[in-house]
Amino acid sequence: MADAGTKLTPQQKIEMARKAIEGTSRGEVSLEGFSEAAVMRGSLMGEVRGRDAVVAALKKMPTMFEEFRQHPHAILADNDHVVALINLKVKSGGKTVEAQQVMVVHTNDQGQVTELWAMIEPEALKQIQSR
Amino acid sequence: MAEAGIKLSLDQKIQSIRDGFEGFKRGDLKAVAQLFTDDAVWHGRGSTKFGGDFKGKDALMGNMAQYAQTYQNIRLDIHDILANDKHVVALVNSSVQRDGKTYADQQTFVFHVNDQGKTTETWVASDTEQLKKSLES
Repeated sequence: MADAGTKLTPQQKIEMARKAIEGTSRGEVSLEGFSEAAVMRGSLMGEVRGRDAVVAALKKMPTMFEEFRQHPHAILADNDHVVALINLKVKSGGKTVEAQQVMVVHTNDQGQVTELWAMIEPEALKQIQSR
Repeated sequence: MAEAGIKLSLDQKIQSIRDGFEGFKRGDLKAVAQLFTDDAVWHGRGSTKFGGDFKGKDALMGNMAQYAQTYQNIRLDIHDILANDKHVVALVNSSVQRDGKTYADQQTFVFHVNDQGKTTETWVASDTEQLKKSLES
């Protein structure tokens, strides 16, 4: 984490995002990675508001399935956004669904997530939700 | 457009994608078509008729033309475009109308752009099921 007030470079944001995504698959989510008013909108969790609620939802995600793996295929960043193209693997009810997930993140100058939007391809989402 | 074999900068690749959206906005599908390779693939999502894989420039341009004919007042406003060596990603605020109903959404377009600035593959991430529910029910 950079010092308060320090503006992170896109490359630093990419590295932070990569670690955060890999950590999420293990249920490891850092409270400090999110601003207090962070908002998450996702295919699996709906809309979640506030740092504590977002972190709780992200920690819960892997526990909802027998297996939950997010592998970043590519992460891009500029001054305003981080976009992660993710290969998602979810196992539930003994069946495995593999899908592409797009995650769009707004971060502040300290690299904290202020808004996170995650979309899973609709066909795969239906399969996951039908388990 | 760069000469064959010349590697484009990320800014040039981004401009190629911006040109595509601008072409679509003014209804110039011929200009849009020039930005795709002949064997380009378009991966649409969801169970609307625009979902599925469209292989080849003719197929994907046909799909795009049908989309333009199906909805009215289509707006695709680029919020941001990011790029790296392999991908260009456009974050787009969109809205379409059909039979007097409007559906607004945020869409993500992921492009593979080759060294000549032409798109070889496109993926669209959007809530197509909500679109269908909103405009086709």
